[in-house]
Amino acid sequence: MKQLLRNDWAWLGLFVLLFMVLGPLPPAFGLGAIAGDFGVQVLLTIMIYMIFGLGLNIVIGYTGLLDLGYASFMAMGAIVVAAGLVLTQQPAGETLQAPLGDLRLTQEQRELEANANAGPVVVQYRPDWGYDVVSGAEAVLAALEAQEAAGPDAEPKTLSVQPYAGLVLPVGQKSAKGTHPFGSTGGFLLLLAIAGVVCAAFGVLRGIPTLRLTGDYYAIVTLGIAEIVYITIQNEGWLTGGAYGIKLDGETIPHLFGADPNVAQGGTWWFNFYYVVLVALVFAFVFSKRLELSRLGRSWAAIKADEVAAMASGIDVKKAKLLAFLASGFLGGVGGGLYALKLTTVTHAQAEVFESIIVVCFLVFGGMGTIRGALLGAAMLQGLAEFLRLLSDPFWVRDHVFFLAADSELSIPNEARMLIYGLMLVLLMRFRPQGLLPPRAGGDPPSKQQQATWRLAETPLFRVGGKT
Amino acid sequence: MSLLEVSQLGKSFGGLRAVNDFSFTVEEGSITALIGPNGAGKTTAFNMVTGVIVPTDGSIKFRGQELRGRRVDLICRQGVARTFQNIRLFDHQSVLENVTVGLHRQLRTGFLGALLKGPRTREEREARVASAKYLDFVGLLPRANDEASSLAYGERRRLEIARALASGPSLLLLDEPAAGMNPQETVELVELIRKIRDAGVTVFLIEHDMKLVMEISEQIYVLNQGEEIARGVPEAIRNDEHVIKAYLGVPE
Ligand SMILES: Nc1ncnc2c1ncn2[C@@H]1O[C@H](COP(=O)(O)OP(=O)(O)OP(=O)(O)O)[C@@H](O)[C@H]1O
Ligand SMILES: [Mg+2]
Repeated sequence: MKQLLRNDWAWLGLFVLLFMVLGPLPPAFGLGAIAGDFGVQVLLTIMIYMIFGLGLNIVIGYTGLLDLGYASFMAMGAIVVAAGLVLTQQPAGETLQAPLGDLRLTQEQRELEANANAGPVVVQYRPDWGYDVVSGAEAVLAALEAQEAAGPDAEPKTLSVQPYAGLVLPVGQKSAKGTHPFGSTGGFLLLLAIAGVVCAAFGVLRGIPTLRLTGDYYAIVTLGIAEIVYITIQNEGWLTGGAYGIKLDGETIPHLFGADPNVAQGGTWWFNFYYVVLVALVFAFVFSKRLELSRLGRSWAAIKADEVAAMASGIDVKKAKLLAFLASGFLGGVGGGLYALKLTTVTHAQAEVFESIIVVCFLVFGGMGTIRGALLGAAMLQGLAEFLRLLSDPFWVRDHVFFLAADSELSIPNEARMLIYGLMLVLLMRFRPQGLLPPRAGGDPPSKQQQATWRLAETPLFRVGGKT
Repeated sequence: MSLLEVSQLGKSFGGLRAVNDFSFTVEEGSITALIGPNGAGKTTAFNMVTGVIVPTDGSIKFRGQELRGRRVDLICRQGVARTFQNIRLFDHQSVLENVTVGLHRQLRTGFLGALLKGPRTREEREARVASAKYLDFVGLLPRANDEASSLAYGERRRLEIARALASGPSLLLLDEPAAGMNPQETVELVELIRKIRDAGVTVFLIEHDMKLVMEISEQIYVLNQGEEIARGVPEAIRNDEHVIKAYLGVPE
């Protein structure tokens, strides 16, 4: 039993089994509609955060560097995928003719002064009600006045508008080319790989100036860089949609294994997506495990334990660290890319410090440095977070907490989530500071027979002086 | 040509001159010792040879190649391995894994190789066998699967030697290998050091245990307050008045 608890593969098996049992049933069973269900969304989130946990574990758990900026990778992966899906269908700067009647102005905008030369009209499309005007409302007012002046019998006018980056365009007005290069399963996987590579490259780039830092200094610098990334995402609207973020819809979301996200509430699509994420989780596990057990993984562990001794053992510490950043960034990008499809709206909020911290919490909770710890930490804390999110919804609480009266408005404020998180961590630190599933070295002593086999074996790697 | 030729080595820590104008050689196949009272600059000299700290002055030639300014891991790759005075093991890894880390420079698999081939490769198998054999060489094989931190003091020192040997050095630097050992362990250590030398590895060691030093060294250098005060064979050093003065602290 103890052996089983320390076996990463056993934990992976357990979680995969749970995800399959609790997850959506094949649509052939006629239960495809469950896919839109809250529970499946929670499971998806947990799986994706497990991937993040595994990614961050490479830098924190294996290499021993406290990285407080992992949200940058999660967000960048999501943005690469979302922007990749949207912008390839809608070349930047392309203008289109929007029916004047579909342009929606806010109360404030309506009180502005009409001015036909106010500059370009930038809009964001909302599938259900037309176009939100992001800027250039004065010109819209001028066009409306002109229309009114022309009388009710005049042709309905259109206005030349520019899409706001990340906007969702109505069907048929997508790309002039009418293609969706990332719209298929293969295309999406390619885009996911691109997100991984972009984030891996960013990991290396970010790593170069931090190579000499350890401990608190490293943590602070990663925190600082994450803040820069956060602000950059907010400001570079041409790519990220700025404060609006990037929205994906039934047109931009890729079809997975032929399933269209629009058909029949997307039941089949959600089923397919769920299993894509599950496979990605297994991939992230194997990726981590193989690295952990390799020469590189041993180098990371050595650096974590004692950098000077690692160097003196012939390890190129800088190279090993950069490879850790690369591997960690790659998983962050892939996880982020999957998260984009789950969220369908990707904003700069993905890059917030809080997002970084919770992934660190997974590792602390699960036990720093083990894959099983990262998985368990993600499952427990993310599961808890989703549950607390439910409790912050008064309607859910009223309907599901049986002892409450029907008119009760009790709920836990959203902010209390952090409080409960904090409390759990304090309790953990008090009673099990090493985390739930910490690394354990070694095992039973080698048998006499094993020792004899080793003694007799020949290998060119054993050589003292000239002699073997 | 000597294996290691160091000339006019010097190191200043701010105002403190830890090592000054120290020139010495280590002959291939020898056991050479560096002794001196506490704070003499012995460890500092080792640190400079292995690249852990950069010398202020002087040059360090190993097989005729300049080591000064080289990265620590590259010096290891040249064939210079060491142990540390304040034992630096990878505490939370197993004894066997500690040695496998030492094999680093003899193994090839990189990032992509690890991902594509996984852990069940011939190289990994051989690495495990070789690590076990290094452990056997220092007499720690039965402890192979224990956590390194669970070893006793003398065992820890021997594990460090095994790890250093795993990098396949031609020069092995031992910083106070007998410190903290009981007499029985010290006897075994002397045997081990001789065995290493006899296998063809040149040994250069720092040691306070004079009996051990006199017993195994062929050449001895004595440092005091960063300055060399004597050099020679054990007999000569034993009777050198500067050395006696430095060790006994006889007033001027
Ligand atoms: N990194 C450092 N920074 C500042 N001073 C140092 C540093 N390393 C060593 N010193 C100083 O240099 C001098 C020589 O130290 P070193 O450790 O080389 O002595 P040692 O001969 O190895 O002594 P011991 O026998 O006690 O190990 C000492 O005065 C020590 O305090
Ligand atoms: Mg010393």
